[in-house]
Amino acid sequence: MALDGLFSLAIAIALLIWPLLGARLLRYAVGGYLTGSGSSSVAFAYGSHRATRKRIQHYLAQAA
Amino acid sequence: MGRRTDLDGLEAGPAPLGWTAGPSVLLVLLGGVTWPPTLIVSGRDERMQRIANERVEREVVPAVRSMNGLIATPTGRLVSQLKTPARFVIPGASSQVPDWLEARAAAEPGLVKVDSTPGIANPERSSELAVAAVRGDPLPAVTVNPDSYGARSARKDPISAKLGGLNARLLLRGLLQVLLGLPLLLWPGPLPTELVTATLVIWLGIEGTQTPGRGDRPEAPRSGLARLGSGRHGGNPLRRRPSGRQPLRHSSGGLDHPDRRRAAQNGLADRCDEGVANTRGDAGPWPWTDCSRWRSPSRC
Repeated sequence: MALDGLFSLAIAIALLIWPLLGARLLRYAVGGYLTGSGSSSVAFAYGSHRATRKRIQHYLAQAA
Repeated sequence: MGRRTDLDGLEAGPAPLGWTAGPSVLLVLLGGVTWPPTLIVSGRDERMQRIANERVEREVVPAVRSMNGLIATPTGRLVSQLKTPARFVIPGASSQVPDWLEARAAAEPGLVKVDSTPGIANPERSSELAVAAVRGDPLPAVTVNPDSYGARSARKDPISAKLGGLNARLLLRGLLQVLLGLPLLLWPGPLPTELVTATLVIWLGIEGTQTPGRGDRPEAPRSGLARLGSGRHGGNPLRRRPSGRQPLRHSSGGLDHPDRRRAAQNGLADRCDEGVANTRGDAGPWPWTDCSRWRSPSRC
């Protein structure tokens, strides 16, 4: 979230400083944001699923 | 003062006259000033952490042992140790009530068997029904559905099942975002305006549709009184009957029910009155604490 905020802030400042590069900058910013957010969502889903499975297996092993 | 203390120098010799301390010496001196408090603070934190751990262990371990003991104890033995009157809400039909509980309820007038009203399959799923059953109040008719939260939690998710339990919504959202973001990054040359517009529209559409709406929001936990006060029938179902709907045809806790009738024959009503007397400060022979807590004197 901190990286997200810093990244957004940097993009906004760059847009203000170099308005001619705005379109290209916006394209890469949105593309990077979407790719990063999507990748992190997939990674979070997989990590959560894996952690849950491990925890359940741990509990089952303790119960057995 | 006769020797150099500069740590940067490998050779330590007598300080020349007029020698002044360099930056490294100042650092060492400052370190000497700041180290002892740091060590003290670290030691104190470590001790406090240990004390906190021991305190948590003292509180948690007996509770866990108690829970283990509670779970390991047979239910019949636990019930035999009950000192106060209790009602058991058995999910399912009356035929599923264990024999020992039947015998116990028959032998002990303080135990009242509350079976499920025909037509209400799982009263334990609804807090309102469970409270009504425990209190012995008339259960509503078949038209009352269980809480929507329980029904929603049991809803099948075929996509998640196919993915082996992965969070399908999160996964699809991530994949769609990656598919939208990669063309923006990797498209050679200038992007067509239509592509950018379509990407933004799809992205905003996904975000908008996946934002929990009113109908998709999980039910917020409410207190018992709030839940009772905002039931499906509007208001407290224990006080207000559903007007305009089916009349209450049968209840497991009403006086017309055999169990309630048997309880009344066993003298429960009298004991309830004694409990009310206890709450009023009179000297009743039997402390009917549950009755005085659950029922208002007027309801008893």
